[in-house]
Amino acid sequence: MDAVKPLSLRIAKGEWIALVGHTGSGKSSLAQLMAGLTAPSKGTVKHFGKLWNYPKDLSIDVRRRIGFLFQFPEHQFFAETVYDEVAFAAKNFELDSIEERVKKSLDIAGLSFDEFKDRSPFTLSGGEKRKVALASVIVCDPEVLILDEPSAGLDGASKKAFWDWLRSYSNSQRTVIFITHSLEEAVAAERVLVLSNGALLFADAPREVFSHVNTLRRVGLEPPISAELSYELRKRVSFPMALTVEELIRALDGDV
Amino acid sequence: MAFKDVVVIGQYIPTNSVLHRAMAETKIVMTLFFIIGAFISQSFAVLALLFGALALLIILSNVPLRFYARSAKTVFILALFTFVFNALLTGQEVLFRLGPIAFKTEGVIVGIFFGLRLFFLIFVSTVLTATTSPVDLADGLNTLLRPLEVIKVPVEEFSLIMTIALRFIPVLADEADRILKAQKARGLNLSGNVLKRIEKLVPIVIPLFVSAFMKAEDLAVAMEVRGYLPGVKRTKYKVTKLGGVDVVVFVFTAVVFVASYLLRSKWVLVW
Repeated sequence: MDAVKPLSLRIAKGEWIALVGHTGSGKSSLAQLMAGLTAPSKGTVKHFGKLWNYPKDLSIDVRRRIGFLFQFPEHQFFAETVYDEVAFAAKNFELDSIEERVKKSLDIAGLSFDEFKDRSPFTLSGGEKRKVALASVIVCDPEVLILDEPSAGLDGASKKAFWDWLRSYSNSQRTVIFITHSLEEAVAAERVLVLSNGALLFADAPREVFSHVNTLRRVGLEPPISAELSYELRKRVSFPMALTVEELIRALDGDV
Repeated sequence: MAFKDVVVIGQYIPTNSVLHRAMAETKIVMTLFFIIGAFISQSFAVLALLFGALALLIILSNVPLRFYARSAKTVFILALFTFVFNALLTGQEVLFRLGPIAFKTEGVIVGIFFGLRLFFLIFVSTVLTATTSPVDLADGLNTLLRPLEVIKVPVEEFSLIMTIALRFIPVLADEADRILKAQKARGLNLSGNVLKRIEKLVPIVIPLFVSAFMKAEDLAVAMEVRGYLPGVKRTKYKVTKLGGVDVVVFVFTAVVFVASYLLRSKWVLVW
């Protein structure tokens, strides 16, 4: 069985994309295809407008330009110190001024360089581990960042801080693609790709996608509560489609 | 290619074949006798007979041939190693030269024999694991080793260790695949000479060990909370009985084994 069924998709530079779907819908496989980590069994994947003969000819440069954060990335730790763990990719790609890069990426991830650089990544707390994992990917300053369930296992405050950071990262002309099965998280994206059993169901703006409440429910996804409420209200009265609680309140106040 | 496509040994392929229906104990005994058969002599006749028997087993197992073909590549590399070492180091008479390297007549023959025997051993074990679920396999071993309990061998625990080990082969293969991809995404390049490559395996092997230990701990806790106690007398959920298939397999094993013994001095090219 194919993990991803035939689909055609183009992602522009600087886009902020959510990839959603039920468990086993093919999200991770599609993300790995996008990152050039898996070769398609049929069809082609172009990276940066060019077709690469995967895996032999996919240049190291493409790898450097696409950062990929796996689910539970802390399971990939191997180095003795946080510094070595974060510097790993930068060394592999033979980048210059490694210490500066490590410092900057730890800083972006919200960890103090001096405090953490000599600590073992294995002894950190869950949240700190995730931050180190993130730093170890952004150390190469990738143009495209693909994240597989990045907020899984983070507590409320860490989650919010993480999304705020990701938002600002994507604002600087970088493409961000994140996998999630929480549609609440997908609301903030510019485009939402919905996968079901390997097929691409929707690839549209959140407002458009979330108006198909029944279809989403049918494929095992839980629409955001505000979307559901406004959907029910729209059946009865004239009401705008609200995706967030704030939008819903504003709509109820009659501001929209 | 994913790890699990390469590591075929230990994978169970459920189909409803004759061999699948035979008791695990029967198949273990058969495999054991076939292996002994392969080891009692260096006769090419015995090897030909055993390969014939193996072909029959593969057909009877009703497991797609491409499943076996996938593992052939890995085994081939091992067999090639065996062949080359023997060809270079065994015997005196030079058969042919490749530059400064001299291949010896005796070595080439012994190398071919050992290479083929390796193929046989791995494939005959693959038939066993492909047609017997890990749980049945461990249960079968448990029954066969039971007599050792008299001399205080912890048979029950041993078979549990076997079950868990077999059960976790595909899980760890998947995990290794994931880790490999993650490190590739961070620029790990596995090319280079042998020493370089070994060094580059560190970022894959360490996370794999860490994950295996974590899984082991979780599993131990999960087993304890569900009341597992070592060394307790257990009854079986599924009681297997000797059936017609088992008798046929036993007779087949006996015939092949006796024939291997009788043929042991035929076609022995080098001793």
